[in-house]
Amino acid sequence: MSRLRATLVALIPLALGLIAAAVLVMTGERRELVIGTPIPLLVALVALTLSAAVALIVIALRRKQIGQQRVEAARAAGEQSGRADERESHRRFLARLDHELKNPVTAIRATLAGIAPAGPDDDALVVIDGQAQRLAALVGDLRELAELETRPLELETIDLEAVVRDAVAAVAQQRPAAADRLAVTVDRVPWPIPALLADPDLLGLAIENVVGNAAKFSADGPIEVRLREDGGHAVVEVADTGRGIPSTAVDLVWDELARADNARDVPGSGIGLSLVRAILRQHGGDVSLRSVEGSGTVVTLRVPTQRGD
Amino acid sequence: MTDAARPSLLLVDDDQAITAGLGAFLERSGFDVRIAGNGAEALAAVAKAVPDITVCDVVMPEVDGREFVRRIRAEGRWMPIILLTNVGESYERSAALDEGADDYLNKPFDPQELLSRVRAVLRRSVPGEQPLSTAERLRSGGLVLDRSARRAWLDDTELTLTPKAIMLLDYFMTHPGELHSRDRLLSALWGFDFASSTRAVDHRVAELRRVLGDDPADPVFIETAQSLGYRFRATVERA
Repeated sequence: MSRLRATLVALIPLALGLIAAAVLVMTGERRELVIGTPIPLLVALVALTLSAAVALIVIALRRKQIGQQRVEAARAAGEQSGRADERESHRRFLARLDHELKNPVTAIRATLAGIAPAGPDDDALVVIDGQAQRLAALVGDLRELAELETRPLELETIDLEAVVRDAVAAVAQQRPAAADRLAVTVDRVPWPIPALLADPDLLGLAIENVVGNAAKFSADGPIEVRLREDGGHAVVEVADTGRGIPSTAVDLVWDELARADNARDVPGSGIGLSLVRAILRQHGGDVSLRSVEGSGTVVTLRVPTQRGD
Repeated sequence: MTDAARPSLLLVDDDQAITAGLGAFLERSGFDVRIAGNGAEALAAVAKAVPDITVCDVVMPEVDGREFVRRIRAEGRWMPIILLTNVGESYERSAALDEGADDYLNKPFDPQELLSRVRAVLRRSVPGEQPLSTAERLRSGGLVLDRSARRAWLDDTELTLTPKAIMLLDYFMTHPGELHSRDRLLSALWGFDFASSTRAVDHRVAELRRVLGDDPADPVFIETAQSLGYRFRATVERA
């Protein structure tokens, strides 16, 4: 019922009463009705009437609030379902792209191998071979990314500190020049980080990726890897004093193949942070980043210590 | 069957750009190559002359790669087959082996990697004999692996292994005596092509060694080829 119609319906008894009163006045009705009411009863009746009026107002307001909440919930559900659809469609796109790129890249590499079975010896062929390898790696990365979103985690009880130390050791091994700049600190007071149920290989890959980025994008200065517990989450922070990310690119670095303008001189596909985010989300966690160009970057990975499923 | 110096190879793929390039490469690498455009043509080619080895794409019109393997095995032919898979997921890869293929490579692959796979499969296969990859149970000394139940025993005591370690053990035992690079193991079993994460492989090998009581300095089962990768050194047979 619309608000106008409800008001009109509510006014009908008043209108009828007024018409009846007017008719009685015109017909010369002058008698009076005197009702004797004890004052305590009158006070009680007035109080009851006021309470009823207040109750009606409260009920009306509550109904309005519930209505608004329902609208909000419906909107949120719609948005969430839209985002899930968008992610699924994006995942399918990556899988299709991977599928369509596989055969041409295989054909290029096979043809090159047919021309020079022992490896390319001509400068032009070396370039083609190099670029084909790069494309092949990219195709593999895209496939991996598409797959990660639906791949079931292989969960084990893990010691996150051991996984972090291992990832740091791996980066130190790959980039000996950065080894002395890497330091791991772990908060153990007032309580240590509890054992997590996680996929150690994927989580290790994510942490290694972030620590590797810190080493890649900072020529010198310390790289701190800090581990702590924070309100039901295990938190890994990776901080460097490197070149940082321009403020215009901070939100874009999570997109596949996105690279900030000041990162183009460093080899890489631009898939790493998308991969890190996909892995963390698979674990019910998330990753965020703060950066100041020219000063450094801190990447924060959060993994829940208790799994919801 | 041709002479051992120039083994015959049947290359099956519906993409001519691939068969032309790869065919030329394999010819120049010492193989007598025949080409088929799909599984049905490949079945006809095998009926005409059984090749020493077949390299076969999975996604093809008419008879696809998996169906080709099933039909060949159903005919009781055990010539080695390498599948060129198009899918990344690890269960799909192990499915390729479960269906009776001897090995698989994920597209896009390095042609040199295909060549080394082809040579390794030819080395370990005995003409007319079923490959280890078709066995339900494998044995190596006191170590027994039930491949379909994904369980393992050492001297009759069941081993507690993570699913990934069992998968790695399965891969090692179906490829005995072969050197596997960390990258290859990572890509074959984990589906990762991120070279930076090969430590995952080292961890699982360490887990296997711990559970098997295998001393890395004097290994019975898994030996480390310094900076190259790992090799399952013990003899493996059907159990």
